[in-house]
Amino acid sequence: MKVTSIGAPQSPIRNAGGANGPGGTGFSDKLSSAIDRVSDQQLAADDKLAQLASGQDVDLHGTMIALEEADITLRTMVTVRDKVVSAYQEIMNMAI
Amino acid sequence: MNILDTFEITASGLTAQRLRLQTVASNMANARTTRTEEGGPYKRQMPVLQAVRDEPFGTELERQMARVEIVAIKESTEPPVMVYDPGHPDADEEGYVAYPNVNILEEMVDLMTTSRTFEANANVIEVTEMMATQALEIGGR
Repeated sequence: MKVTSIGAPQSPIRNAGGANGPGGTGFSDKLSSAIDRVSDQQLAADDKLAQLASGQDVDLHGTMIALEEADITLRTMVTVRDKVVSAYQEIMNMAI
Repeated sequence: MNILDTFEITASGLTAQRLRLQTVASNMANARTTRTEEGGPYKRQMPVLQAVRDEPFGTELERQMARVEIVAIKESTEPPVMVYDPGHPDADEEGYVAYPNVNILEEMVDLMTTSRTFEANANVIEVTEMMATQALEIGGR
């Protein structure tokens, strides 16, 4: 069995940090744009619901699908949030 | 291919089936209609479905996927059903009444296939949602 050395790792923390690396957006930018998208989905679902309730010509299934999309994107965001929070707590609880 | 794109394709299928249902409803409601604004009996309406590919800049795989759209609702070219009924106000000189070329049995079959296709499309949504949930569970652990 080949055992690779533990030599200097590719410092992932430094790369993933908040500062925008050259030619790329930082994690916080990505996160905020993702949250924006989630918010957009919620607003779209809201619009569809309002149109349906006010008797405009909207598909029933279209409204339900918009709700479903909003639900999935929201749950994705919540899952990511949970991961981020648990990673943060993991770091904070580290004994120094 | 985003998982939400699947919803879009399926939504187009649901919309198409809903419109198909409307033509069936119209045909059934007018199965015995002998007068129309254009004159003559009602003519059977038939939806024309077309596959629409709208990802010209997508990947090779995405370009193969197609939504469905009802591009037109055309009248059937079948001749009207002539029934001998001299007492009818719309009977011609020989006593024949032109009834619509709607066959109620055909419409029933259409209704059933419409309903089943709608159901199948709705199932696709359910499965898509289930797959998304399962994918989220990977990250949620």
